[in-house]
Amino acid sequence: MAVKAKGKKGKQDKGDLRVRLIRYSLYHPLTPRPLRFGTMRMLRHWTIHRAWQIHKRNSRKERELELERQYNKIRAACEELRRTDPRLFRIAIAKKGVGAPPIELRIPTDTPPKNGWNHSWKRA
Amino acid sequence: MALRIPGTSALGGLLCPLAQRTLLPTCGARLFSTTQRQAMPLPAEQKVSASSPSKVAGRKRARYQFRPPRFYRGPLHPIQPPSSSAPNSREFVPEPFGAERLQDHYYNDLAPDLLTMTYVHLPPGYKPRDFSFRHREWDGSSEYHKNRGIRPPPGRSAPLPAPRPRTFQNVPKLTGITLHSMVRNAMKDSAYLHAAGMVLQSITGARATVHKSKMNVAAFELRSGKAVAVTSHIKGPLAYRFMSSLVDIVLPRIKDYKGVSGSSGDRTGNIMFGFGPGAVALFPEIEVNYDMYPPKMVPGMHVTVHTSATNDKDAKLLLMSMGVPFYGKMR
Repeated sequence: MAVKAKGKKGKQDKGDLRVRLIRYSLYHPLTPRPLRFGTMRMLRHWTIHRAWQIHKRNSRKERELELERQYNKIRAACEELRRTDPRLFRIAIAKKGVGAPPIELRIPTDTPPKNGWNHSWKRA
Repeated sequence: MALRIPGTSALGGLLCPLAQRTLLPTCGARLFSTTQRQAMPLPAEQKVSASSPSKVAGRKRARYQFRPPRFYRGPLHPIQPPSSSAPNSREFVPEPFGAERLQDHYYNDLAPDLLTMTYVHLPPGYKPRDFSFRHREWDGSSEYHKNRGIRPPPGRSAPLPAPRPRTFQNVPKLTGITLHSMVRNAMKDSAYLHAAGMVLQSITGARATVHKSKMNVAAFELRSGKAVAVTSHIKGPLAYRFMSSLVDIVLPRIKDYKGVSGSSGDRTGNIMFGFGPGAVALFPEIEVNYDMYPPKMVPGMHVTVHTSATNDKDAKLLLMSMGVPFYGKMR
């Protein structure tokens, strides 16, 4: 990629190399051709794709059903409480102490960082 | 066929026995010759793979293969591109390569939690409030009312969505994220715009769209018709991936970060916040090859988080449960 200095031509200013690289990678027309599969390979791909779609649909249905079951249980419990003990029902409905989720709640990970937090940093 | 009785159609003529006999050898040959077909004996040295029997030694590729058109020529064109899930499509992207942590976390923990936290008990027989008054109609006093669109409510361009009781079907979830960056220096030098597009593209993993200025604003030295901004819209796993890298990597490393303003939001469940160039440089995709960008060309950006919530309170609750800090009065 080294540009040879050939008299006047090599010395002309082409701008920042980083900008030229960004422009090249954004707008060059060298896109690869689409994949070509043979019949059996295409069939294998299609089978796996269909299986994955069905698996995704099943897990989504299962998730939605689980949420519906939880909702029905919450509703039945509240209704039962309303009929048996109005005082407890009022306390349950007031939602005292139910506000923001705790900030300590983190996205679960298999590999938590050892030195994730810079404890020594002080405000300047 | 030569004898056409008036009153019978051409189709009826095709079905008469005489015509059928004449047609048989030409168009029905393949249908009726199945009994004569025999298996072609292969040479002994040619091995046929059980998994891909089409790969016979003599022939490397199938004789005919459909080549997707390079350009989409409209819905009425006889040649249509294959669906994006087919590997011979030009839009095919192999996926997935892994599960999104935040997406799994949402479906496993956050959605049931949000359902429980925002549940409001409505006893049987409860009638929800009628919000149809928000939709007004033209009274027809003028002839020009005839083909007008929906009449907006006073003071707004569109009615706000009516509040609905929480059920298992409307638990708020992340529907998409839009990153937006307006680069005023792009008026003078397009390199700023290209660098901004590259930054957004590498952060989101989706192609950035260029937007042109609509108006002349002398104070900002803006001229209409000039490309000044880039946006990138992502949804699905990419949106979850962006959110998790934002919450886990970028936000904790911004020094003295107060959080997102509690009054942010457009009242319909879309929360907006912004970052300066220093914070954008903290994204791992930028940080790993920060040297490849001219430092003054790394832009700041606006982030709009689109949620399925119909009010800002629920949308902020969703973001808080994902780990986005808020400050100030929550409105």
